[in-house]
Amino acid sequence: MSTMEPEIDVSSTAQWVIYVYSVSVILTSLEYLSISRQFSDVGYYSWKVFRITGQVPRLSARLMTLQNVLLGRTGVRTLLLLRLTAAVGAITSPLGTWRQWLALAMLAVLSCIFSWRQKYGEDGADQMTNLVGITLFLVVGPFQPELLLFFGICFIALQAMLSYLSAGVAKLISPVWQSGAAVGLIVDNATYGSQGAGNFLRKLPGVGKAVTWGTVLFEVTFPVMIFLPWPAPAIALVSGACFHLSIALVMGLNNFVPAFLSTYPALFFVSQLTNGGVLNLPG
Amino acid sequence: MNAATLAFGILFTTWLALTVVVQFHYERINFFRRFDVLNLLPTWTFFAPNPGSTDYHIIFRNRFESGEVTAWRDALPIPKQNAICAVWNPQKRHVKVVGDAVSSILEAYATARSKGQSKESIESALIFFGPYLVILNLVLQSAGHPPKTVSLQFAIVERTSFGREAPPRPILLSQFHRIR
Repeated sequence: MSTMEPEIDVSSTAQWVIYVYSVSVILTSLEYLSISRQFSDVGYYSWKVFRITGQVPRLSARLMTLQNVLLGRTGVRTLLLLRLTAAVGAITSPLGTWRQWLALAMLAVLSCIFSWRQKYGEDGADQMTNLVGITLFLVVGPFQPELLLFFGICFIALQAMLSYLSAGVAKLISPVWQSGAAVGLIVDNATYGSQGAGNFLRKLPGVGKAVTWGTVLFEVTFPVMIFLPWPAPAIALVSGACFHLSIALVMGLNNFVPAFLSTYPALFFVSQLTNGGVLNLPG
Repeated sequence: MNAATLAFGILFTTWLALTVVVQFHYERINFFRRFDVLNLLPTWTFFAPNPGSTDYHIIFRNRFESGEVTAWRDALPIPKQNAICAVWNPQKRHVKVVGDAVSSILEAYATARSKGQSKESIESALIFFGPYLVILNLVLQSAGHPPKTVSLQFAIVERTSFGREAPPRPILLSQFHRIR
């Protein structure tokens, strides 16, 4: 083994994924807690309404009663507080300990219950957070083999790459995105923009076109850059962080920042592996 | 490699493969999505191929026993973006719920029309449709229903570019729903 080849440690990669994933869970839980009155029977997210939307499978009478208790306002507040506690537990526990694994197990289960509950209002950031959380629960623990941790980290990295590639290709084949007008159209509305942002891009259509095409090129090339020699992966990851931060600033999609950045340690791991790094599996 | 590790390896590979498959929005391929009740098969095609370039406003009016009808009001005004929203933005969830419900209604409406159903039969069937009930509930729970109200009506209005280039366009008008 050459002394110049860096050793890459899957354990520290997993720990960093857990840190950022937990921040994502904490942010989401606190936001939902701040609007938790909407989960009451007279709130916007009333379970009495959501449960009859046809997307909830039929259950036995006992399970329905249990479900109604768990998914009313008090149940949801309890669920969110437990999520918060488990996220703090995951951050503060050493990797591979029972305490951390139990925290991750709680997070995975509670997040699945919450996804079941919230048929409307969740977004891609929530899906990525849940995916990362379930993967961590399956591969991080005192009794899981180290090779399984490696599989989990690679899975998270590949899902992240797929997300950027899929988003980029879908934009590349879209006539609206090809015209360069897409970003200007998106931010020129109240839902994901503002009058200021809309006016700015209308006055400078060249900037709008550049941002539109820049978004497409970034997303399509992101997975490729991860596998290229250094510093391409660093450029991709820094660009990605800037991309998500700017989306948070302009469009208010703040939860995408920790959700997608939680995959970046895994992406960095894969980039080092494919660039001649020596895998260090502990034990 | 032990059997458990191999099994998880197969699980992750299958999960990834299924995620790749659902990126293609073909009805036949995606039939198994109805079993994805936990949203573990995400579609990553954000804002594409059609970028979200429309605001949906839910407006409503009240009718009193006398027959008098109030003016239209916004049930859930879209909050303005500011710098704080880059860090803390719980209100985005309300807007997303509206967007999801309206998109489902429009999709169902378009599908029914493409199968030859009349506008009237679709609109009368809509009151049994989940996303319609979500919107109706939003209107019911929004503030500002006068005590004399006996029924209310809502409309979904589409607006682009803050109404600068074209006036807002109503896309759905509900019947009056009795609340007392």
